[in-house]
Amino acid sequence: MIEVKNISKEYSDDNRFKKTILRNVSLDIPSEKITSVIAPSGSGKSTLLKIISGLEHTTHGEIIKSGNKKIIYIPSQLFSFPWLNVEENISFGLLKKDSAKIQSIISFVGLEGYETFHPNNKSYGFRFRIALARSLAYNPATILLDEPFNQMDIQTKKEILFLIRETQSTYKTSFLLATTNITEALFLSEKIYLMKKDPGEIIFDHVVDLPQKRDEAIYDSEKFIQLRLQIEKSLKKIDSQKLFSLSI
Amino acid sequence: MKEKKILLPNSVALFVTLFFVYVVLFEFILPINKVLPKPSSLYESFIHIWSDYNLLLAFTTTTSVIYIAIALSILFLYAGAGYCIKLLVELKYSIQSFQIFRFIPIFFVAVLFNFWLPNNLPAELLFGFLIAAFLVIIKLFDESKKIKKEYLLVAWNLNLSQNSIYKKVYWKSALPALSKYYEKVHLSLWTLILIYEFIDNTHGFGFIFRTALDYKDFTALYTLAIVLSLLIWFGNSVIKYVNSKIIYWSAE
Repeated sequence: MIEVKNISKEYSDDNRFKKTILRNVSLDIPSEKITSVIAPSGSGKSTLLKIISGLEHTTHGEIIKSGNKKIIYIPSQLFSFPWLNVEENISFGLLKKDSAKIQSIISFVGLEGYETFHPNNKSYGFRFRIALARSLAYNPATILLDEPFNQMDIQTKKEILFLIRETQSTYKTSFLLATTNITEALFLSEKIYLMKKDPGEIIFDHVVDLPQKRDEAIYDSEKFIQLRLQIEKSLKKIDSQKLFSLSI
Repeated sequence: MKEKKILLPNSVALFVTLFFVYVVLFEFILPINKVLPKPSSLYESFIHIWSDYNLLLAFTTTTSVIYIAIALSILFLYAGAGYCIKLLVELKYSIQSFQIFRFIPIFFVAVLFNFWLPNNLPAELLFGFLIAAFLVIIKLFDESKKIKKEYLLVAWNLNLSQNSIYKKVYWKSALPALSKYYEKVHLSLWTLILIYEFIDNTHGFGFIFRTALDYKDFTALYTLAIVLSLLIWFGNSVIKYVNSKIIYWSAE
């Protein structure tokens, strides 16, 4: 469980120009659940994720996490190192390499047979699988996904959505997804936070009470459509002008 | 609709055409001139510089200096990459103030080193190594500034030590550009070593150039230029081939 409490982040440029990126952001990332933050581009989603993973400092507020397990951040692009093969990418930085564990993760993410393959110029889906496998090799408490589907085609996106759900149920890992897309967030999450921009601030949250096992049929279910309408309504309430870039 | 093919001269066709024009013009129409020597005299001159100017010795000396200097700079960089990058990244702002030295004419460096160092082969090799190492370190500095932030984010997030990040991320990310840059280093070294030997006037191709100039041996100068062009082209092709076999990735 990770508790984000009243996080604020300000950037200053030689003390002349100050900009508040995030203001009093509070959210919970429960264990073994998938949580999403929907916000427009440039609202500070990446900054929030970097703060949670410890890659950036906050100006105010605190992050409370239980246990010593890692929080892994997967950036929005360049998911793999092109000079390493798939197996080396996955075991990158590990002090003790457990070959059997690495092999089972490779099979799980669907990269079996590609162990010695170099990911240079491969599709985003392929490289995302590598990044996910590398994260799992560290046995993390939480994986933070920063707009992972941005450059994926529809088929790959569908496969990766299922893979993330499967990862959560198999490895009991919690996820925090930052996205601009309502459908992706609804399909994956148990809880969704809506954030506005200038500055980034959480305005609404929605509990997604969809069944644990989700397949393609869920998109057409009454509950899914109802939840989507609720979220769209909340977004309209926030500020239609500032959130127009959101996709459905 | 049928596509119209546009015939553009490729490099071989262009070379053959120019060579043909050269032979016709300077062998038969203008055999005596001050622009280019007669084609047949070039062949005679090659035999002449081979025996009288001792071309083989010059070839051995100059190519050994250039390629050993390149090999030493690679070894130096490979062994000390981590420390080099650490220094370059940590002293980023101090190093930036030295950028002004980039504008010193490289010709002057060869002259200066020729004054500083004794007139022998090890000194020339030391000069070649220093130049090659300096050029690649500058390139390494430039590349370390261009590294993709995502690579660093992943490495920091996985708690890699800073030294590991220098070796496993910065170095690897810079390698494609560095290896490509060796083509430029190769060309620069040829130029500088020739200038060095020209001033030194004791051995190598530079020495032959100087002697041919002293004797006003017009044809020998041309023959030497052709031999050197072929050698540089061959060296460049070898570097390109080795790069294509070793560096299989791009920095993206």
